[in-house]
Amino acid sequence: MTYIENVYICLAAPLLVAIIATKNRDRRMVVFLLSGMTACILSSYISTFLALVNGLDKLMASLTISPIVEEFMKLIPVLFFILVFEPAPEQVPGCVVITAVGFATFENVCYMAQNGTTQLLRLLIRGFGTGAMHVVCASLVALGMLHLLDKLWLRVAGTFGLMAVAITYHGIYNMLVSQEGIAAYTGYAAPMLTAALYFILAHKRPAKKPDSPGTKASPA
Amino acid sequence: MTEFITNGFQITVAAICAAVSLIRGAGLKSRSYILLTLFFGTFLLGDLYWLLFYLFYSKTPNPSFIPDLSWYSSYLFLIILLVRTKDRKAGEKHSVLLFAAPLFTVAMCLFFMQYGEYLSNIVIALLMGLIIWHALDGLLLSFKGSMSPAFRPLFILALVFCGLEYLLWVSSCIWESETFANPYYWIDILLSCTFFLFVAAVGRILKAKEDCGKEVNA
Repeated sequence: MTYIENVYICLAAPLLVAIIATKNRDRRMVVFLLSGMTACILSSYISTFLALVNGLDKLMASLTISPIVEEFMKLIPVLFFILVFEPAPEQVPGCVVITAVGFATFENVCYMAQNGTTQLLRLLIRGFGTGAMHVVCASLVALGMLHLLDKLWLRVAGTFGLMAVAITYHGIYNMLVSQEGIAAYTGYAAPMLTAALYFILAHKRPAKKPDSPGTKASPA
Repeated sequence: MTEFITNGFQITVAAICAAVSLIRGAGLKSRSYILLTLFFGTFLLGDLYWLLFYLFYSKTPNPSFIPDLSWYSSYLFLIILLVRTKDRKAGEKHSVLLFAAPLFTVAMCLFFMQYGEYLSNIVIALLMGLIIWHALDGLLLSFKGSMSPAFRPLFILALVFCGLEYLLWVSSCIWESETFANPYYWIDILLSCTFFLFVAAVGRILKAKEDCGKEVNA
């Protein structure tokens, strides 16, 4: 049996020291890293509770409940930061990515504690796959929150929609990596390919003048 | 097997349409295309989750929160697309006809509650009611001359989409056969085909706006 609380304490302790020792942007990043790990351990508790309530085993819970809980929990630190501190939009993506990295790191450490560390290749694939998946899902929601829509109610609706995209993407990932062979490798490769696709699209120059969110629609 | 064929067809069509919309949206930096991509993308992800679950475990997901959330969000993106496309001037009165939308969806909700869960049916009624409301509103505005006729296909398509979804759900309550004799599968294929028309309809709107030579806020 793995005591994830003990693992959490062991990982959080140096980060707490780092929070005291750093300032400004560096401190913020460490706080988000710790927030990501905290979100992960809390997600684990909530998912276990909901699985028990619904009478699901560990595998079915990881396919039907965990993605929903994890994506919501991952969003909470960033949502708190946005609503309370009202940061400049360019400050948010970094925080989202660091929270997701914290989440993925803690998840991977727990995975290693449960499954051992002998298979380097498997751990390497899982490390990149899980890391990319959490970053892709978190970035998707942040992207919508900040850039997709102009009016507040549209932004809230759009964020909920993108959250559902992230949840389903996460669910499909969990389903694929729970299989063996080609399905598992497809699952691990999908987030990395998505991240690469995003990188290509984000760096593509616009062919035409972009729409500005403030301009009014002008039909004929 | 029939379910696999129709689901596979829908996933393929949605993937093609999402890719086309994404490429056009990224190229033109058009929010309409990005919203359309999200509409197709979420629909596709819901279908894919459902299909993979069936493939790996030979049963449908239970509880089905994840695919349901995905399909609800696809309706949400369609609503946002319709709201952003419409151009309702301040003080312009709403037609009484629009109230047919909530009446219809509430009646259907009560019908479906005999077969399924209450909460999911209420959410669907709410989302479908909003799609029909905004599509009807846009259509009436375009007939009044407040908007170009080029906008009409999108609103008509949204209504057709809702109509087909309701036909699909009604047929699933009546027929249970898993062969192509069941109209459910044919309606599902027809629904998938409307995806292509959505891409064309949004393209037409953007072209009309471009032709007008005005600021585009798509």
